Amino acid sequence: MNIETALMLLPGLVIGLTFHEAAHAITAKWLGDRTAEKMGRVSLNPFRHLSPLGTLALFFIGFGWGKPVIVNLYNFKKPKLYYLLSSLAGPVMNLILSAVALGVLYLRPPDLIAWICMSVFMINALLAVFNLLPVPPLDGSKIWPCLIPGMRPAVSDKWTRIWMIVLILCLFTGVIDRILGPVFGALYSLLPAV
Amino acid sequence: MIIRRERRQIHFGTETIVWTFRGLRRSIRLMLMFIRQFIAAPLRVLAWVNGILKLSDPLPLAKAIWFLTASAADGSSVIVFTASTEGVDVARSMAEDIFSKKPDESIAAAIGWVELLRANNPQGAAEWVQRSRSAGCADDCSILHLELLLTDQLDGINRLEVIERILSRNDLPGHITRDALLGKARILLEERRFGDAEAIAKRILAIEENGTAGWVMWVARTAAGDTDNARAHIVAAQGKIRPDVFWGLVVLGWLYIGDRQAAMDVLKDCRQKDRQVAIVDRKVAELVGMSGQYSGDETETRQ
Repeated sequence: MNIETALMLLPGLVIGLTFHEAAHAITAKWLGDRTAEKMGRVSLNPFRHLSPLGTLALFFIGFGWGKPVIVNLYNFKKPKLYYLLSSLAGPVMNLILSAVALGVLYLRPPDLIAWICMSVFMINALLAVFNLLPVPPLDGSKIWPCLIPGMRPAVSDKWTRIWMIVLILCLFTGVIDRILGPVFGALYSLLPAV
Repeated sequence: MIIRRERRQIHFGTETIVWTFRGLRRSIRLMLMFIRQFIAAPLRVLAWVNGILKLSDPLPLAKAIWFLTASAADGSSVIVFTASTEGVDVARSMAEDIFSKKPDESIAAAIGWVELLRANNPQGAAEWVQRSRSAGCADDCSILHLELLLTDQLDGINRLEVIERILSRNDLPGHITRDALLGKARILLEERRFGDAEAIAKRILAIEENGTAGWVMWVARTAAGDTDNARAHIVAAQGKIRPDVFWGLVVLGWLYIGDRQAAMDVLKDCRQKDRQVAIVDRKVAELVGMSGQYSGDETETRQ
């Protein structure tokens, strides 16, 4: 990916990742787990949430990620339900941001704001969909076991690492593009006509 | 009323300026830290690849990363790698040097783990716990975890008190809470409160797969006479625990249940089949006739 495109994606990605991770941390705190708060993650300061590696990856594989929010399930009174809620908080926050940005775009704002809103709309909607894929370490891998009876919500670190490699391979080989491509098309159709 | 309102406004104004200035300073510090981490990111990728493929000595890369980031977490990695490549003594002097300049609990915990696992020196590890506390290190989760494992090996630390201290917190990572819960379950088994221990094991197993929790279930169900259920738990646990630790726990389980003969039979069977049995507890050490040689081996393989 060239620098120009990466810089165009940057506002949406910084806003999206910051709000996404902060939403996980705040929800976990509300539900009784202060682990993320202690790590300084209940904050809207992007530097608390951006992963240096994830930011670097944006320039090389066209996709970035934030630092994962650590959640201690033992602090939840209802581990499955509360883990589901704290895991859903990130993608839901992205969808809200995306809807707000789309609303602003329909108000025909000045060029600079329109560019930022366009970036926020697209990136956040894609982040929400991408994160719902049931592959560790994405949020989807935490959400689905909470919904399926008999499944345990916590996945071992060993499996997370293996799946992470699979995910990076999917990003490189274009498998993820095939999944996100139709979503991208649908999102584009929602934009106001110029 | 008017005077009061004016005072409040002046006070609010000063406070706002101080708050903004502090916030700005914190943000700049965070930004600089991020930039340093960003520069070190390619080296982290190399270290990750090197960790998988074992191409070269990881110490030079760890040192380079630490040089760039100056973070305590990276400093502790350097200490651990130094201990494995250059020896515990070099790691000790490095830890002394770093800790005297910038006391941080992760440095104290890193050298504490080295003392415990590499040098088999629990007393040395306990000293680092004390030093971290007396230096007033604000964050203490790694130190608490180390202290929990030390309670297995040192008589001077109250195991239950450390466990309760961990369980009263809601800001620690999950693996520390889980280990404290497992520690509590073992205390309950020893006190023959099998039902309470089972409740803890069930709580853990509802969240994650865990061999030791499965073993607790086996002990509790066997004590309750529910052998079918007990067998299912121990079979599931077997694949998740290192074999020698597993057999050590089975022996310990029978001792908790109060069936010394069954424990002896397991030991005899293991000897016949040439299976290793880890000395996971003083009770097991006594049984195999090596009381006093207990080294708390199970800490190395804690789930």
